[in-house]
Amino acid sequence: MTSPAAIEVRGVQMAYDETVALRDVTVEIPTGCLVGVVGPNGAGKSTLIKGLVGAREPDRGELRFFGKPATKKRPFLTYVPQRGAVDWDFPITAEGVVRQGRFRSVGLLTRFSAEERGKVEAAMEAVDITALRSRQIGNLSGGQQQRVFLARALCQGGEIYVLDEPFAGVDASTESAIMDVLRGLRDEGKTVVVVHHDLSTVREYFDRLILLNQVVVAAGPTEEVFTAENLQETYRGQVAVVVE
Amino acid sequence: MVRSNLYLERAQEFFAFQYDFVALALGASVIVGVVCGLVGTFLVLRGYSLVGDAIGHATLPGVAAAFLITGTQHPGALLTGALLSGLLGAVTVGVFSRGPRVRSDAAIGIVLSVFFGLGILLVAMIQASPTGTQAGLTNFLFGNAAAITAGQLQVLAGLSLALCVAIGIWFRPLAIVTFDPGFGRSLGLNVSALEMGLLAALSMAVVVSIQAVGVILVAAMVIIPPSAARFLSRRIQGVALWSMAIGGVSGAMGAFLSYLFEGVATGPAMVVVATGFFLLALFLGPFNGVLATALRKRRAR
Repeated sequence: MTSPAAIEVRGVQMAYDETVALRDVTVEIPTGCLVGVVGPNGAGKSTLIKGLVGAREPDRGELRFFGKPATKKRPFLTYVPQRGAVDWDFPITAEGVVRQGRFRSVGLLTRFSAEERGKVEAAMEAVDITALRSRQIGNLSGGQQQRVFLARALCQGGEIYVLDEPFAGVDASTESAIMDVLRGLRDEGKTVVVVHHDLSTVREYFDRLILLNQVVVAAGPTEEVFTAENLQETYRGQVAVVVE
Repeated sequence: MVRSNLYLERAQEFFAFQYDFVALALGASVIVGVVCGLVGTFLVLRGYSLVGDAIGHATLPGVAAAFLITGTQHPGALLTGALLSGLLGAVTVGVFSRGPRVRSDAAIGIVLSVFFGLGILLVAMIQASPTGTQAGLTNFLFGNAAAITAGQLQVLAGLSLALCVAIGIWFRPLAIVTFDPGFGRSLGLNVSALEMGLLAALSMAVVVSIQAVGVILVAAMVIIPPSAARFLSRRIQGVALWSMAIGGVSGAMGAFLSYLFEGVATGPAMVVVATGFFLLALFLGPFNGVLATALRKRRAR
């Protein structure tokens, strides 16, 4: 064990009122890998993500990042929420959304310096949305919106990227563009965690996999974890895709 | 002919600022429009429009109770009462909506009518008492900007300025949290604190405004200008500025109309003008306005 894991989840339990979403979840995510989190609806995937990004405190258990116990502030962590969580009628342009990624750096009142603006430009270029900068966010297609949110994450920077269903409702070319960006981040040594639904692409996309259904059914390198028996157990008979 | 001469004369009087109370009424109305327009921008975008209505109505029992307790119509006492009962109304809405038993729209409706009913009851009791008729509490129902004194205007202006500065300072986090609360939390922003701050700002704005617009219609000045402004900009900064401008101009024109037509309270006059601006923006606004949308559809065909 040379370097500590990027993320350690130890015995985490999280519940909403009466329903338990996560039960005694223990899993480790090594630094510099691209990890998929897969499981049926209601498996607690989004809850786990909320715990990781600090949007919700675990009821029990512990989170550690890079070997240190989690605190409230997690400046090394960058979050791309589910697209549906956003108010599409909000008066903001694509560029305005990307600029939000620099909030930690510019703070309340500082103007955007040339350097800050450069970071915003570079992020928009990386996902090819520069031409859309002045469009209102709700007037973009699903794929374009997702690119905007990815650009916000890119210009925010960070060591750990957490994305909640980034491929939901996006076109094929956006999906492959997003994957290129995520692989690029991984190759730079960043840790990327992606909640994912489409079992047919799991093998192609992820180095490691976490199969989740309230508990961790299996976790580890994709080729070891992505087996018919494990999927059967995760989806409990609701398997949509047969694994060859 | 005679009538129109009368109005012309009145208009001349108004713009000559012959009487101090005209300038004071004008100042108070403009301030109300601007501050409500700014606070309202976040409120409308957050989907809290009706909370503004509930808080407006909820201030009335506070005004009346403050008069009953202190026995004076000192505006400091009355406005403190208004602030306390407005905040109590806001907290009640929040507590009820969070629980499982009452939906938030029902909670808003209940708070609005119960507080307002209680307020009307207290006002009626006060008016039935010997000193009551001079209490001037009915001014708080529809607003009477002309009754505002120079000292009061200074206080209103100071509070409004502080409110605008506070919202200006926290503009970025408020925008982030309103647009994408999950992302805001991941940045370490305290979403519920910002939300409470916004509701407190709303209560302050309402309290600053009720003398000029009245408790019944104050929500309209919070809701209508930002709703109009949304057709005029695709950036929240632009929406906020347009909203303040529309609110301020509506305030000024409302004060003028109220002076022109005797017996017309400032509140309704302001709201009518603001609604006029809303209709203009709805039809002519470049962003999702009726005309712009129709033109775009035709071009696409």
